[in-house]
Amino acid sequence: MMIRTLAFILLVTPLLTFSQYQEDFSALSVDPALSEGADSVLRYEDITLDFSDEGKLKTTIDRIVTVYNKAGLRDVQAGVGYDNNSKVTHVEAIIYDLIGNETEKIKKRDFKDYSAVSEISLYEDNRVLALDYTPTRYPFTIRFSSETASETTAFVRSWMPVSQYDSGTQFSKFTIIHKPEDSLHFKATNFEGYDIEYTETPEQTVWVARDIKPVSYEYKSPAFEKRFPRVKAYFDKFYLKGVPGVGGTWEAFGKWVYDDLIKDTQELDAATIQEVQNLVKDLPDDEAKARALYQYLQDKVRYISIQVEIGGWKPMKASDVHRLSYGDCKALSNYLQSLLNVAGVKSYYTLLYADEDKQSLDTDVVAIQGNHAILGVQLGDEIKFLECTSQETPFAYMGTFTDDRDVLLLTEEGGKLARTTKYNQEDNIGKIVAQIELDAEGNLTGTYTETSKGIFYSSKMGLENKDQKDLSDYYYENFSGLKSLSVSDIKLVNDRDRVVYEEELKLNARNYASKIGEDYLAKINPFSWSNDMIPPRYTDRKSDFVILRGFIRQHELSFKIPEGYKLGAIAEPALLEEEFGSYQTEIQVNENTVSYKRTFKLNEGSYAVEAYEKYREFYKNVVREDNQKLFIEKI
Amino acid sequence: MHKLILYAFLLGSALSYGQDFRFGKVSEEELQEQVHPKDSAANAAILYKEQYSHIEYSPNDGFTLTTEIFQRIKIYNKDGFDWGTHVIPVFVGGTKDENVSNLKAVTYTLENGKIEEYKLDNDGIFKEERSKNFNVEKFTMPNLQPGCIVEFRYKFFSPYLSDVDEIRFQEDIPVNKAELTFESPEWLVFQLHRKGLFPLDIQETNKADKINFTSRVGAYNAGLRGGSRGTLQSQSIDLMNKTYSVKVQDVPAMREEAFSSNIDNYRAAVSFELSYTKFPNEPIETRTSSWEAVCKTIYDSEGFGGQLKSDRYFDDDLDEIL
Repeated sequence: MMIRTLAFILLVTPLLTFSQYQEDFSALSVDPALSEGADSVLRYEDITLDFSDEGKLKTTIDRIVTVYNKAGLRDVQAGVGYDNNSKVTHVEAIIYDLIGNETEKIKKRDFKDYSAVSEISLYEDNRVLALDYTPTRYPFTIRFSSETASETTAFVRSWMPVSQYDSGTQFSKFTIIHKPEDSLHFKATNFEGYDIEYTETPEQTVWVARDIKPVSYEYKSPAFEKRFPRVKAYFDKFYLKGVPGVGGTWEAFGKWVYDDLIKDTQELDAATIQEVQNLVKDLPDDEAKARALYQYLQDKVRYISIQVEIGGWKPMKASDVHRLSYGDCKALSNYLQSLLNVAGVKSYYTLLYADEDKQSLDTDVVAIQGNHAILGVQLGDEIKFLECTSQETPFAYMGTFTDDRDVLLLTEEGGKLARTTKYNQEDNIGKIVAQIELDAEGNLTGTYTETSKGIFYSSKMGLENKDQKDLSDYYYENFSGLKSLSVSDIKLVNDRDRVVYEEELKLNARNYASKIGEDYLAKINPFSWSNDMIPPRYTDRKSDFVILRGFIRQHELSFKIPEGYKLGAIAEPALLEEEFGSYQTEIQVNENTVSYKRTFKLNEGSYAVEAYEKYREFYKNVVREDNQKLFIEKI
Repeated sequence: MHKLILYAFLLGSALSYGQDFRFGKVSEEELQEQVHPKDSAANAAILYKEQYSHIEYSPNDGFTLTTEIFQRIKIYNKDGFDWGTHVIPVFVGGTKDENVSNLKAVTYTLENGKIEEYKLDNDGIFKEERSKNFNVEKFTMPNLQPGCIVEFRYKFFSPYLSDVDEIRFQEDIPVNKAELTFESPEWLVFQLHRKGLFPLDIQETNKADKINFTSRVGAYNAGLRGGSRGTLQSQSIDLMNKTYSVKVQDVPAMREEAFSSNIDNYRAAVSFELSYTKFPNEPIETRTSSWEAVCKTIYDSEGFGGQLKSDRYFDDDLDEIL
C-alpha cells in the first residue's frame, strides 16, 4: 500500500511542476495571434536574479525563441556578457527544427569569446561569450540558457516581457530572490491591458506575463520602454564591482557616489594649483572664472575612454588627466570640478543619460543610472551645465544630446535631482535670408545667409573645420532642390558667446526657371521643402506620436525678375494652423521684386494617434505651399 | 686663423640644420613648424617612418620574421590627434603567437622655447583580446598639443612568413621620408608586390652571411639497456642574404574620395609574398610561384579545401530525399 502511494506521488510530482508551462519546441504549435506579422516569438522566458548571497548576484536565464526569418535573429540574444568582476558559469544553446526535434546542441567551449569594447572606447574590460549560429532553414527554435556570477549587484536587470518590435511573447517569467531583510523596491509601468500576474513573499517576488501580440515600430512613437510593460527594481544597498554602496534615496545615493567614488580623486599638485590661480586672479566673478577654466579645459584635453572594473564608474584622478591631457566624460568633468575648486567656484558632478531622445533618469528608481557625466556650475541662483568632452561646444550649451532631462547632481549634502537646459520653440530658430535674381536666360543668382540658434546650432558647429571641397558638398546636399548649383564666397561665423551660427554665401543655379514659350515658370522659394519631409504613411497606426522639440524655420526672400518681364497672378498667402504646428506665408509685390516671407512652426508635445493623419496632411500642405510657382511673362 | 674657425663654424651649423632621424633627436625647427610646407590642409604628417624586417633562424622556432618599426609623426592641430593613438594587430592561438615588444614612445612639445618630453607609461598601453586568434595592442600618447611630435618604436615578432603584412608608404597625411629594409636568406624566395602610383626607389642587394647552430649527433635510445645522449656538434652554414631596400621621399597625402571604393587600393605600398623555398640538397617547394601552386596551397588548407571535403553537412537532408 505504502509503496503504491509512494510510486503514485513520485510519478505525479514531475507532471505537477510541468503543468505551469508545457515546453514545446515546435514552431507549428504557436498561437497564430502571437506570430502574425512577427519575425520571432518568445515561447518561454525564465529569468531569475538571485541576490541572497551578500555582495553577489547570480543570474539564470532560460529562453526559448522561435525564429521565422533573418530579422528575427536579433531576438535570439544568444550571448552572455562578463567582465573582470563576473564570470559565466554555464552557457548552452539547443537548436530545434520545425516540428520540435533537437538538431544541434552547442556547449560552452563552442561559444566564441570576444572582447566587447564599445566603439567610442580605447579599452574596456567587457567581454562576451557569443553564439555564432547560421541557421540553415526557417523557422527554427533555439533554447538559450546561461548562468553568470557577478560581484556587481548595483544593476537589477529590468524586465520587459515584450523583447523586441515584431516579436510575440507566449510566456515570460521574472523572479527576484533576496534576503528578507533587504527589501525589494520596484516600479512597474504600462501593465494595463496585459495579462501579467505578480506574487510576492519576503524572499521572492515573481512576475509572469502571457500571450502578448507582436507590435511594430512607428515613426515618432514614444520610446520602447515607455510603450511596453516594464519592471525596474532596486535595493537600498548594493555592490559595484565588489565595492559596497548605499542607495534608498537620491540624497543618500548621491552622497555615497560623491564620497566613495569622486572625492579622493581631485587632488592637484602645487604647480597646477598655481597655474589655475594665475589664470583667474584678475577675473571679476564666478562666471568669468568658469568660462576661463572651461576654455582652458577645451584647449588642453582630448577624449579617450578607458573603462576597467570600478574605473567604469570612478573617474580617473584629476592629476592624471592633467598629466596625460586626456580622459573620458567622468574624468574630464571631475578634472574641471577640481580646477573650479581651486578658483573657489561651486560645481556639481552630474550623472545623466545622454541621447537624442531626452532620456531622463528614472526618478522613482534610486539606483545607478545614466551613461554620461557633465558638470553643473552654480552661478548665482542658476546652475549652468558644461559638456566637458567637447573641444568645441560653447559654454553652457547642451545641444540635443543632454538637453531638457532629469539628472542627478552630486552635492556635498548628497544627491539632488535637477533638470538640464530646455530649448523651447522660440529658442530653436533656423532663418534663411536671401536676395535672389532671375536673369533673362532663367538662371538664378543670389546671396544667402542662414542663422542657426538653439538646437540648430549644434548641427552647424564644426562646419568651419571642413575643407573647401567638403564644405561645398555640404551645400550641394542641403540645396538638393537646386540643380546645376554652384556656391562661392562662403563665410562662416561661429559666435560661441551668443551661441549663434551664421553662414553667408553666393549661389548660382542655372536653368532654375522653366521656359514656356517666351515666358518662365519658377518656384517662388528656391529653398522649398520636398516630399522627403512628409512623415511616413501607416494604414493602421497604433501609437500616439511625440514631437520632442519645437522649432521655427523661416525663409525671407526678395526675388527679382528680369527686365522686360512682368509677374503673372501670385498665389494667395497661406495660413495653416493645427495643434502641432503652423505655417504662414506673406507675399508682396513691388514692381518687379517679390518679397516672400515663410514661417513654419512645430509645437513640442504628445499627440493622440488619431491626429497622425492630420499631421501628415499638414506636412503635405506645407510642401505644396512651399512649392508655389511664379509665372513670369514676357512684356 | 680666424677665417678657418669661421668657416668651420658655418659648416658646422649648416650640417646641424639637417634633420636627425634617430629616436629622441627631435629638433626645435620640427616642433616650430605650424603647417606642412607642401600641404597646408594636412592635420598631421609622418616626418619619418622606418621599418627593418629580417628573417632569423633559431633551432626552436625555425625561420621567423622580426620587424623593427620607428615613426616620427608631427601633429599640427586637434584634428590630427587621432595620430596619437595606434593599434597593432597580433595573431595568436596558432602554433606560436606573434608578439609586440620593446615599445617606447614619447610626446615632444615646445614650451617656453624648451623641448619637453612626455613618456608613454603603462597606463596608456592596452591589450585587447578581441577573439581567439586576434589580439590588438593599443597605445595612446600622453599630452598631445597642437604642434607636438610623437615618436614611437617597437619590435614585432611573427612566426609566419608566407606573406609579410603590407608596408604602406602613403596615408591620408603627407609622408616626408620613409625607408624599408627587408632581409631574407636566399633559400626563402620572396616576390615583391608594388601597389599605387607613386614611384618607389627599390634596390636589391646580396650579402654573404653565416648561420650557426648546434645540434645533437649520434643520440639513440636502447630501452632498458640505456642509450646515448650523443654529442653536441656546432655547425655553420654559409649563405647569401638578399636585401630589398625601399626608399621614398615627399609622398603626398591621399585622402578618401567619393566613388573610388577602397582608397587603400591606390595608396603606395609594398608587400612580400613567399614564392618558393629552396633549401640546400632539397627540391624546390613552390607556394605561390604560379597560379597552379596558389590553388594547390589553398585547397590543401584546412579553412578552405578542408571545408569543401566535409560532406556531412547535408547527410540528413540527403537521407530524406534518397
